[in-house]
Amino acid sequence: MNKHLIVVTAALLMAALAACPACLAQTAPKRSAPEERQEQKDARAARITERIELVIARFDNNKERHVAAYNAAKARLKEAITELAEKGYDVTRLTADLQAWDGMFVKFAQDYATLINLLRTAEQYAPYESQGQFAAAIQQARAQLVTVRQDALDIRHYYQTVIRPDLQALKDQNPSSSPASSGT
Amino acid sequence: MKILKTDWKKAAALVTLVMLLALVCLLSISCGGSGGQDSSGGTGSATIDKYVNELDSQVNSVSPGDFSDSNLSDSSLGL
Repeated sequence: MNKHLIVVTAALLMAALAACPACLAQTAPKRSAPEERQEQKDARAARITERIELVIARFDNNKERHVAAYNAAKARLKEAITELAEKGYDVTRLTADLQAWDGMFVKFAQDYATLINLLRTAEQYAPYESQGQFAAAIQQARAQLVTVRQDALDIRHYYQTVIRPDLQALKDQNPSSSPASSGT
Repeated sequence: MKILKTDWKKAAALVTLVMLLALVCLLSISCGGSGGQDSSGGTGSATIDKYVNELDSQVNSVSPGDFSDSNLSDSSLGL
């Protein structure tokens, strides 16, 4: 009798152990394949948004450094124009150069603002689920980035090819005793 | 006759001296005209060089490469 009881108990225990994982699997909510795909897409979209935020932060940092350098250079050139005019140099050309250079700084800032707007627009579109709007916005941002880079190149090039030579050319002048107009 | 000859020599020496002085003056003026002292007493060339150096340093402190298109490449965006 006892033997029978032990065998039956053991069999019941084994059956219970064998059935347990299946029970656990049944109690856990099973996700459908489309749900899993959606979750993966959402995770990827979140990762891309995070990357875009990082890129914007990096650009903002670079833009601040550029603006600071341009403002410092502009202030120094203004100072040079004032001092040299007081010494009697004709600074008409240099004054016009400064005005043109200032216009380039304004264009740089405007084009940069457009770039950031395009990146923010791209962020709003879920990648792969907005009928190419995300890809189009990124493509536009890339084109705008080329423009911003060209603006920065133009600013440097204008200094090297126009402002610097015009400033150096003042050495050829024989300044008069009466101060020339600084034009500022 | 001897007195006249001595005077002529003195006059010639005086004219030569005056001409030499004029030459020295001309030379100093031509040198001073380019890059020498300006009307306010400071050297204009030195002032210009100072500004050129400072502007060089400010303009070169940033690079257009900061806005390179590699920043928006597929890999950097995780695409």
